Amino acid sequence: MLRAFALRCAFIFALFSTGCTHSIHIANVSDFAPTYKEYSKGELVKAKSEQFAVMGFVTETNYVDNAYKKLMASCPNGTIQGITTQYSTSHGFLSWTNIIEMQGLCIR
Amino acid sequence: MQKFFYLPFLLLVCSCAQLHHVQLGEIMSHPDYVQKPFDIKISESGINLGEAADVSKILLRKDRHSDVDNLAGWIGLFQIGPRTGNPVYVKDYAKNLIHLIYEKCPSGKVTGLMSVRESRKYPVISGEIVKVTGYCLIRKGS
Repeated sequence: MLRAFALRCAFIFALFSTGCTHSIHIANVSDFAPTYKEYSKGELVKAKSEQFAVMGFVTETNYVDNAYKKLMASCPNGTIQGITTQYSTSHGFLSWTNIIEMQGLCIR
Repeated sequence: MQKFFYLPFLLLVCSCAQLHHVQLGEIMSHPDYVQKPFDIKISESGINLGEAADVSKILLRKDRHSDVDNLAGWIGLFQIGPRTGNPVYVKDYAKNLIHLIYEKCPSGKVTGLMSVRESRKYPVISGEIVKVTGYCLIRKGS
């Protein structure tokens, strides 16, 4: 009886486990200095870049630089405070996607 | 049956914390301001597939152990890639960090920010944690 229950539980667990998983490697927040402005005084800017990999073979090798440049370009003539940087991986079938996501408050 | 009796006890004692990354920002102190500490903790449940398979083997007959291994291997094909701690099923659980910081310190006068990525590990499951601590600068007398 217990084994049958365990088998059912294992099946249900397996069914749910086949979904894509994710892993956050780094989540960092940078300084609010020297501007120290309220949220309403700025504009939220975001930049995201991805690297797709199949069996270890990668497609985009400049994805971190690309996100960095996108973020800089999104706030010309301004200062970005409180930049959050998240580096994560989304796992898939024999492949994965590395994701770098940056956002901050653009103060002009 | 005796082994099931010890299982909850083992779940309680077999936990540990693992640090993956820590980073500190600028620290500002000013005689006109008071530093009010704040703490933000975002956690999501991670699952260790290998340990889940091992626990299943305790509950199942020996002739079913190979089925468990096959199932774990099959699921593992969908979870290939670099990982820090155990994988989770929620993608962007730490996405709104900046909003959470502003909730704690609406003035934006934030200093001494420390970002920590750590895991709290238990058998089979884990807490995949992103923690941010810092100080909100409040003007004296306000």
